[in-house]
Amino acid sequence: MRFACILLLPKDEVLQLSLAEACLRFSPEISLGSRTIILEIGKCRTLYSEELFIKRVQVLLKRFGLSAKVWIASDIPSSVAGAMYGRALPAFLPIEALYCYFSPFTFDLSLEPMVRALRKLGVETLAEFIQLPHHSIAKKFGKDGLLALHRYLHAHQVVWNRFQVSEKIIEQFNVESHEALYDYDSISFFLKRILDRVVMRTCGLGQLISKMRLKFYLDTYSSYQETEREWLLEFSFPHRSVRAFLDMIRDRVGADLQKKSLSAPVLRIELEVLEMVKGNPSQFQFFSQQEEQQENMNLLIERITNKLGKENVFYAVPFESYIPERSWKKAMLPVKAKELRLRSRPLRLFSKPELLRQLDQYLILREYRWKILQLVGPERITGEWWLDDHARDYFEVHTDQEILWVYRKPLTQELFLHGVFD
Amino acid sequence: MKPVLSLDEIRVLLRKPDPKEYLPCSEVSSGIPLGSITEVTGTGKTEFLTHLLRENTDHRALWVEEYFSVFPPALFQRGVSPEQILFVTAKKEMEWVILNALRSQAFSMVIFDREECDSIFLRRVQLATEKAQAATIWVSSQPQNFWTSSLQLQVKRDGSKLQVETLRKRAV
Repeated sequence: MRFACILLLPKDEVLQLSLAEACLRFSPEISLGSRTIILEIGKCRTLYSEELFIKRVQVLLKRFGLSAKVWIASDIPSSVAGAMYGRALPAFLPIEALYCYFSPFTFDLSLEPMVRALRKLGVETLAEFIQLPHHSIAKKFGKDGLLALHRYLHAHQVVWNRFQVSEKIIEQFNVESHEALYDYDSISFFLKRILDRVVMRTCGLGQLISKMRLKFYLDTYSSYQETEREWLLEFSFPHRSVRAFLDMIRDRVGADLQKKSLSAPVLRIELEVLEMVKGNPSQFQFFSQQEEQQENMNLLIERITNKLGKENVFYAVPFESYIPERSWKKAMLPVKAKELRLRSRPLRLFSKPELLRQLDQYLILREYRWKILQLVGPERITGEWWLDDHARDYFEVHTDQEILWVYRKPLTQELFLHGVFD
Repeated sequence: MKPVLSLDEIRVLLRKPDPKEYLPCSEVSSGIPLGSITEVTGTGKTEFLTHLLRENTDHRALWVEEYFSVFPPALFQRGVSPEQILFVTAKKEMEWVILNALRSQAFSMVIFDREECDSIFLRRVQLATEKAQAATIWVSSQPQNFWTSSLQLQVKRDGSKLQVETLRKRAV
């Protein structure tokens, strides 16, 4: 077994939990100490080497803005002692390292009088301590002394205290008093840090974010009525990159702040994950760009949808109807087209057919005039009899300029321009 | 058991594909240039685009219009796959949509239908197109006199056939 100890300098309980969740990407076996995160990484040897693990942890620490010492050893107390004192051999470990062996998770200081006494006696290292006759340890220091010795000699028998992930993923950032954040650009600088942590935590859990809430807590001067602003951000496609979230938040929040600016500076930024979906948050395939392209496309669709509305971004899907304007539907996902055994259809169709006037050989629509050269048709299209205009006789009208798609209502003989063979 | 690749096979996989310069198009012998704007005008312009899409089925296209006027069943009838095109009705946000689509590099063809374009807008689109190495196709009814289009085509119908005339071609 191999244990890695991440010793945080200085202690930060909130970030320690966040970092532990992010570390779930390395191993599911995680335990938390008072200022340590301990991972069992021995079973993951085929996934990464110990050197690579240390480098990846350093990257994580940098992204969380934390500093820590990392040490890997074959038992938990040795990894903690190694992280604390930067060495592993008992001959070089100071007698204070006995705390790490006595209670590796909590650093129980009940041994302090004993350690002080040992120092006075000239016992300076752990190696010297274990060379002491055991009966003299029992005589001088009682059960605590024996227990400390036992725990040192049987360091691999520590009870594993498994880390439980928090129910909610919330990340906050408290703005320093001298920084007045009013506009999105300055806020986004801090938002990126929070997002980074949120994404790392969700990645550690093997999840992708599909919904989150962003909240700005504003300065509470008596003259300001608004004390907070919040946005509910829902994503049609779950994303894994911070850049994607930042782009989407900028589109939404940035635009809102342009319309209605903040009345007071932001004191705290809070980001809460409300919904996640199971996903593969690992890196993209190395030999293929397909995944990356698909993710870029999902992001683009999402952003356009947020900006223009769902009805304005779509794939066209064939739909069974004889009425031309109802023969297709908008869809979020594409489908394969069936073979259409119909007469040729125009490539441009007017959303509302325009009433035409016919004057001898000319068709007239407002200021436009076409000279009819040839008529192809009619093609009778009927079907939905319960509608007023259920029967239409369509003609391909070859004119001096272009080919028009015109229909005549059999009852009224009115002519309508419905499309153009462009 | 995972298949083991030889060093040469890995080299082949890692090799960057040669950048393509043109999209093949049977109507235009030199093809449609990638990384620049092509202007398509005339009475058979949409028909021409269906040919281009049909001949490049492995390229995804974004079709942007201010107000939607394309009749998708007609595209399918001419052999264009529904999976190939994502449509956007951009209204006043056409520039934003086109630029973001190009920046995302998710599409190798961006088709936009707009009658009046100013040179600043076209310059921005041209720069984004160059960076994305995509084929941006500007569809309008009349040919316009802007230097940003590297290829200007006029498409006329001749019965059931298309007559494609190259009005202007700039060396890329």
